[in-house]
Amino acid sequence: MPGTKQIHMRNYLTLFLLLSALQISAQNHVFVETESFEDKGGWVIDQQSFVVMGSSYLMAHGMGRPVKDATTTVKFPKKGKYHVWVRTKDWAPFPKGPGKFQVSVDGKTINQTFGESGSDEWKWYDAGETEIKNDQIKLAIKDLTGFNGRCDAILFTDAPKFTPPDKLEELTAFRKKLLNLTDTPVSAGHFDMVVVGGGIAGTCAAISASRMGLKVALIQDRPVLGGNNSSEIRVHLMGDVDKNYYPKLGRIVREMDNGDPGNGNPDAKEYGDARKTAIVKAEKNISLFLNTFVYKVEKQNDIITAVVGRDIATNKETRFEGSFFSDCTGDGTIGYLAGAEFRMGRESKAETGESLAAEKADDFTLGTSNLWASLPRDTVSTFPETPWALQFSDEYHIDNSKADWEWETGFGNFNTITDAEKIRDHNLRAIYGNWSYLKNHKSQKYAKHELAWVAYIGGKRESRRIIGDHILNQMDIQEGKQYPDGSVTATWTIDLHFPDSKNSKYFEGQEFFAGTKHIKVAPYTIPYRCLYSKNIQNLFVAGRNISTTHVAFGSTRVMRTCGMMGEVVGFAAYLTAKYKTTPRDVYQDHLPELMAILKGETVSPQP
Amino acid sequence: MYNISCFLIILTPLLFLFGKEEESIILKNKKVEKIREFRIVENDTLTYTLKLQLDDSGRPKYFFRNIFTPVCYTNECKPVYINFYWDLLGNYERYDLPEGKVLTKIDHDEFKLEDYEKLQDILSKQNSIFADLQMEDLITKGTDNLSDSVDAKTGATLKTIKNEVIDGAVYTCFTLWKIAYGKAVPEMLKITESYQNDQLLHSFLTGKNYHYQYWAMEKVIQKDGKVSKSFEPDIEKIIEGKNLFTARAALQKAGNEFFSKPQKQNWLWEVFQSASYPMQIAILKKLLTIPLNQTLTEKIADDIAKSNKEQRKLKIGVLKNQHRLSAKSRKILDETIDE
Repeated sequence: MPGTKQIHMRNYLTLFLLLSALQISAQNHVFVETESFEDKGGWVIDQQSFVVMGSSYLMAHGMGRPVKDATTTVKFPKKGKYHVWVRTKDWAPFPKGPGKFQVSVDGKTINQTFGESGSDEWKWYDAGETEIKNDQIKLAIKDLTGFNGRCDAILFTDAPKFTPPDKLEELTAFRKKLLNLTDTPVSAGHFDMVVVGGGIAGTCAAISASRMGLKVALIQDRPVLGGNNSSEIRVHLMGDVDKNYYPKLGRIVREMDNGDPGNGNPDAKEYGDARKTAIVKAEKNISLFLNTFVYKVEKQNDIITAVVGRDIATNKETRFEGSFFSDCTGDGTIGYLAGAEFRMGRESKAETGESLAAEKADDFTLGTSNLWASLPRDTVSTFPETPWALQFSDEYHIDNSKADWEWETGFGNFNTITDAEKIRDHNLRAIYGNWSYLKNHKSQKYAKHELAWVAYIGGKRESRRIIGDHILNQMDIQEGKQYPDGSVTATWTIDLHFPDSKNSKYFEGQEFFAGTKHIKVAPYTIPYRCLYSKNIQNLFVAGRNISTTHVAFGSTRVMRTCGMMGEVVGFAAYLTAKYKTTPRDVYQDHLPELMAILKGETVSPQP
Repeated sequence: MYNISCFLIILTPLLFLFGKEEESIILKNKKVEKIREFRIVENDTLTYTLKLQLDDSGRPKYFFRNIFTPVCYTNECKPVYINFYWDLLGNYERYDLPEGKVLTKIDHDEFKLEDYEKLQDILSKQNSIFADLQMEDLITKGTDNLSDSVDAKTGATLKTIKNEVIDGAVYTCFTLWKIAYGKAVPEMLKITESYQNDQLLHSFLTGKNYHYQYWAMEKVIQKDGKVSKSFEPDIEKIIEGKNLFTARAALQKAGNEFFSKPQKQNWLWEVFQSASYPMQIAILKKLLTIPLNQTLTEKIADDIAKSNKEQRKLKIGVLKNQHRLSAKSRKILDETIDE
């Protein structure tokens, strides 16, 4: 009997598959990624959750004022009735979020409001049927609040009873099919060095390698360079460049340095985005690819052969072949995808012997900041009550007209990679809730202040650390060990943030404000062996994701220091190319030549 | 005991002596105001007078000090005259200047209006950068210039610190902040303790000062959560009040017995309806441990449908924890769990 049942089941299954196949062949899906809208109006592209969503999305970041509609033209294979599906979420379901928006087809608004469902899972929402009367229509998304409503994609389908998939794997396959993405994307060519990540570390690595004569691709997932120091995040550069053991280092960092406007300065220009881009564009050996999120790595054994990136707006894919790769993503994305050994969180005292290490190893990381600033204006302005945000009172609120580094979320209670969206959203709920309190209850001081800028891109401090041949630790730093390959000089204190105790008292488990203790250090050098992966042969690393312990990372993580790591990686890459060898072999066989470069000496070529 | 001493103070304002304190009457605006004075001995060389303002009935209002302090650099001291005001629990509230007195900077420039405002901001900040610092950490010796080494010590950049001090008056800010949060504060607490009576507690609980509310809650809610009967209305007012933090604290401190009567439970549900989201969550968490009347469980059951995930989970938990449920509530609960 059980056997018969199984056969029946199989028959049903075959029949089912057959029917679905028929259905697919007969149906028309018109799939629109919002980030590809022709006119984004006031909406912004957010790619920060690409690794968990497989896509970027559009967001209405209006700081409480509705932004202009995003619009685009959509072509249809045939006219008629289509079912509409809208992929979105309620980002602040407490109990209902403010991210409300509507969708319109040829000026006719679909009678449904999205973004207030009370569920913070990304899902397809059934938006009913609509009649498509022309070969092409004008599709618009209309923001209703200015409070970060978001929309990933819109699907029109004439297949009856079709529900688009929500599970990541199925959805990714569905997207890929409907976006006509193939397994062999357009090639950008072959490069000596592919630098992924256009923050300070990556930009300096690319410039350094380029000036050593290498053909370089620099890939950045945002429209601007500079990362945490860009106008999108606005963290100032820290770490000194005037105490260097090797004074030659720091020259490119100085070029990147736009002066110190502090953290979260309301004037975007202070951070010099255009200047940074101009410096890179002046390098004839660098091909710059902005707006490109690298999500795939191709490799042979333990050698990376190519990476694939997707444009965060057009969704076109590009493949970059290279001899060497440098992971300057901050998240160690390339290393992770390639199977490089990595670490995330804190080591235990027993493991590292560091006095500042945790008693037990755990997932604790430093948090992510979304900085903000207000400005005094001539007239009084209002800001709505924000019941969906964090709640404040006379007893506890942050009485400031702008943010500094302390505005920080994600101390082990969120994963800084997979929960990046939640972390940013928690920061927004803190910012808007506090600002609403100040505007509505401290009007004497704040009536004429207006939010001038709120970051929607998080300034992330910590995630993965790619393990190299040396793991820098607290003792290396405090004992000032000078290894033969000691290269970049670091000067920042061991600066490990934790939730501010008062903030913890009021927002236990939901902290958004940090404290720190600075453990002063004498200038010390970071060994070159921290700057490449131990098990992926052709992978350099620079930036916050280098090979250190959590404690040591507390000091190496600041951006001038990270920039100099990039410079060293550029020099080392030159040697790997010159001798057709690996980053490790540069340490083993060509260290004198690397150090000579750092010293500014010319050495005669070695055999 | 306290009532009697109060009574005595009213009757014999000139004669009653309490430890080191002295008492006086000052005629001001033709109205009798009473001030009690306390000598505070900080160390062998520093003794000063702390004053307690009383109202017409002899009830304490606030503390203050008429301060005269030298602010000294290596070779030069200058006198600073300033009055500080604290609440009854020693929380710094404000300052003013005696008539004809001004504050100056190191170059003898008089404070501008914004400097005076900034001083109030600086003094109001309990977690100031000054808390962990000595003067020598902050400025270059013998000057009033911010030291370059500050950021190494504090991690704050010179820029941030400049926001926390008044340029040219760093020493003044530092000296005054240390007074605002100095040794007089625990003395004030002790003095206020001596005034504790039901009337004071009622006025603390029903007033606007949250420090007073926490202090009084500690007195009227016992460790096991039992609330003194006569204070129940005060505690209710706090729970339904606008300050989320005192409301939540009162809710969490009060024991299950406080919420045991149907009337109180129905009142709590009314509070729930208009409460902020975090307060709603706190109320639901509280209800998890309380046996509830049937009216309330039915209301909660009816409410499940329009809840978000977090609240739905808590409401289900509340219903599950009940020994008795009406058939209707049971049905809703079963259907919800099945979903």
